[in-house]
Amino acid sequence: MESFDLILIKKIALLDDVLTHPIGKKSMLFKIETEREFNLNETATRMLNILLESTSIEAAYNQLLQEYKIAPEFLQKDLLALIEKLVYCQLIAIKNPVSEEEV
Amino acid sequence: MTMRILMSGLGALALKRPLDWALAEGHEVWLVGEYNPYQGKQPNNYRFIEFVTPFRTYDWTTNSWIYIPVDQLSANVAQLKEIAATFKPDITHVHYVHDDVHCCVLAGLHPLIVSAWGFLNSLVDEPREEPIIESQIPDSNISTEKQRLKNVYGWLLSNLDAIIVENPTLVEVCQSLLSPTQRIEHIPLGTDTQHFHPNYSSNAAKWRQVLKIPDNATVFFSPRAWYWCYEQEKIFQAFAKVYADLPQPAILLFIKFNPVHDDYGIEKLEKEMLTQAKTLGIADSLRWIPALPYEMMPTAYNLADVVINYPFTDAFPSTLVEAAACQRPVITSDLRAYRGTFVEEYYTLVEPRNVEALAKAMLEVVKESPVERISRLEKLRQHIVENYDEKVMSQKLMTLYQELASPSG
Repeated sequence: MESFDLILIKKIALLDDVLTHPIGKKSMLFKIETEREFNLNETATRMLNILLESTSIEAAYNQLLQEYKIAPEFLQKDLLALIEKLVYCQLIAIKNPVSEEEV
Repeated sequence: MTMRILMSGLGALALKRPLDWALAEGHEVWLVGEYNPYQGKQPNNYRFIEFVTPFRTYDWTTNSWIYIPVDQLSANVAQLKEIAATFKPDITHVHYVHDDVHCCVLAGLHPLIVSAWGFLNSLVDEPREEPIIESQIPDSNISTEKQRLKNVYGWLLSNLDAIIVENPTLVEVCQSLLSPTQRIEHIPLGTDTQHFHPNYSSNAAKWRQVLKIPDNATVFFSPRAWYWCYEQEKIFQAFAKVYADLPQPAILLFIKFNPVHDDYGIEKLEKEMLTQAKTLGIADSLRWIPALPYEMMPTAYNLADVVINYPFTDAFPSTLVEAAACQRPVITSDLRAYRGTFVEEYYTLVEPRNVEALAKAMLEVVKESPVERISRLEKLRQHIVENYDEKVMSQKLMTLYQELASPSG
């Protein structure tokens, strides 16, 4: 995956075959194609929801920075790790914010 | 009072939930069985011991069940006695009426509780005229099978301290088989009404997008699995029959069949259904979703406009309770197993195995006034919260444990 700085302008979207369900503040994701389920803890759920609602990864990062009040380098590391894991599990795609094409 | 509870049974939801309840109450529980439902971190007050019993099998050549002779269970009985001698359980609770119960009875474990969980359905089934499905138990053998079950269960039941059944009709039936000193408790599975509720509409809208279901579609949802008695093909036939009269777009949503265990020719049935749907030009109105994790079912109910439950034999499925908690209208087969419950008052009942009647009911339900429907379903949810919430069921079960463990009070 690209470095954090390079993907900041891009945005995140769930892949077309992914169902989500909230379980309190946690959530569960289910990939229809592979019939696999994934549990997200409270923090990962919040991070993903903000990523999906934001116009860019950078916007999500800034919002999370305000919410969690942690050192930027820690947030950057955690956010990138989550994005990498979700991409690896084929749950999300990183998209160009203008063309909406997957990158 | 904290108790030691020895549990046994097959590793499905019906076992897992009472196990969770007992552990949450702080009781020490040892589970003997083939499958450990706790795959990650084990609770501190819990231990799993592998215990494999031979299980009755069905002989297709003679169309009869082959029960395990009692003398072949001696090794299992010895293992169970050893476990009990070490653990000294206050209560033994077996889930499902199968050979684990034989072993517990032969090991002399008391107080002994058995949860039926569907294994006594045949005792409350209506007599049938047509065969179940082709290549299944012919009806000529049904009465013999019933008698055989009564004989086997009669012996087992006479050795229990309590039996837990899922519906009021089974309570009546068991009263004729048990002595007055044995307890019969009506404790269905219930549901978590904090998790199963009607407020997932925005999430349900997203699911509709994923499943390519138009926002304005009327969705009929059949949440049961594909199984020889669940009649998914009849649900399809009824939908096809009434399709032209339904508000459009109309969608019929099924849980996808898992072909790994296809003992009943279901895959063929599913394919035939799809071919028929293509011929009728309604294939685009069918949707399948894979078997979902249980935790995700509330959204599945929420995306449905009507839930259909149409088996011809049953115990008391949590489907009926979950759909009610999510305030969905339900069309269900009218079975003896559902009598004496909220189903009679709140759901649309249809004679089993009657495609014509089911089709008519589909049309009636979608034509119902939304105001009346919402009011009825709100009242139903309140009834479910008060009487079928897991907390209510857990309390009933824990009370039973306490009373049997210290009968003098």
